[in-house]
Amino acid sequence: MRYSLFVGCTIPNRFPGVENSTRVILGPDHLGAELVEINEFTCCPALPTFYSTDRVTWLVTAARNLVLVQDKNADLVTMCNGCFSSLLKATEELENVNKCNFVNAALASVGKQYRGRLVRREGNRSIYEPVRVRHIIEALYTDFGREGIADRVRHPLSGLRIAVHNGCHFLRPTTRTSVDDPAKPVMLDTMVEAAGATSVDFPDKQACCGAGGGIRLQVPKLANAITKDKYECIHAAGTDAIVTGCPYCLYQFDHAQKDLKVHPIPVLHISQLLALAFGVDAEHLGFEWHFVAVRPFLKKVDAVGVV
Amino acid sequence: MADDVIDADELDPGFKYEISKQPGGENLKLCFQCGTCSGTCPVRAINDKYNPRRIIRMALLGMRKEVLCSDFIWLCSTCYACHERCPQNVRIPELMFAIRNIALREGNIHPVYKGYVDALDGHGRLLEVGEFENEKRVKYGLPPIAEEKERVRKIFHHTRIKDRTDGKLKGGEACATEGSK
Repeated sequence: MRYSLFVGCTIPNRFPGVENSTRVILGPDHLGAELVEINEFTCCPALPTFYSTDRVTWLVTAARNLVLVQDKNADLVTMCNGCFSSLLKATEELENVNKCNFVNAALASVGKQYRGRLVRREGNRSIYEPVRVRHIIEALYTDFGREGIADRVRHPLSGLRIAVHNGCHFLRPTTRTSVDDPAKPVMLDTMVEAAGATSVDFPDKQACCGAGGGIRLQVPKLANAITKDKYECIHAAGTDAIVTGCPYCLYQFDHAQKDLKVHPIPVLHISQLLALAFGVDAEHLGFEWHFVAVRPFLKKVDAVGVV
Repeated sequence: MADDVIDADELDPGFKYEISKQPGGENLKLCFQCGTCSGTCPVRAINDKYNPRRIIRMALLGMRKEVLCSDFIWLCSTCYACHERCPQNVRIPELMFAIRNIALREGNIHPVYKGYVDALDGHGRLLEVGEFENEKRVKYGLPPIAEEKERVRKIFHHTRIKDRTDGKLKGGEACATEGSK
């Protein structure tokens, strides 16, 4: 497994612990994936923020990021739904020869050309395929599976009740390549269960967190009201933590709970939850940057770890 | 607006074709106004200002200026719930993106969205990763991140997005005199 981690904007700005826990669980002490470092990535840029206003600028900027990974023989892996949906859509659009030529004319201004990754040569012909864009949840689920993850668990989270929040852009829209069943997704739930915890059911499980599409910045009260609806369902289900694969959903659930002054439920990224189950010391996982204190959850983790 | 009578002379019947030609807007005319989108929408459930069915109806009627110069077209949370449920495959979030792409060419961009463009122009990212953030990274043993703003700027210069967001391009001033509200 060769991965190049695409960190995006929200993770390095707000949640360095998400990147670190991902690196730790994928690293030599645990899952043993090979990480290819690329330092020149920019913003993906996100679909709602750029594709929605200036389609051309979005595609050229996204293509530049894809060019950086095309010759590295590695899958581009994101820890964020926004980066995932944007870069995946870009690879699909770039399969259109006319669009690709247009983009390459623009990319010449930064000395780049998008071809995709070289898969084989047939005589003098080089066969290229789109750069593989993957979400960390899907990469863990497909490449390691429930058993592969469970094998690495040193500290089973038995009895802990987790509300999973997939987030919209991991599942939808179904017109693009779907990685998980949008109606009844299983990947994130399976990863939580592989860690030994219980993924609880609750109404409107696949609903939006409320922050997307710039809503959080435009009308924070509206974003929080949407979050509150989902929070109520999660709270009523009796959960010890909310687990997501998206740093922006994480930020929204985390921050909105503070704004709404509700009974706090800690919010974790799936990489952080798995790191805890793998027995990684919590001090490496960046929980001090979360708004809702994760300490009560860590105490429960410690308690269930005593076998 | 709700109390006003729509003046047929002020409608632009070509608006629906204009949107249909945009990537993402192709299926606009398939809408039969069932309202599944509005019934599904988490934004609409909280705030009546964003009503996808009404926006589509306005677009079909040809209320070009009212749609393009509005601030409600910027309120789609892009959750794609309506996209999954629409029986006519109108692909509403993509349709909203198509409308916003036209709106920007007409000189209307929500300040938050203009902020995104300026952030990328300034830092190469939507959120700054500067000295403070890099100090945090060092603490966890993470490699430092350099801003790649020069490369993004070259792309922006090439696509002239800043000319559009700063309202410097000629030909699209429909919203300039009206303001964006």
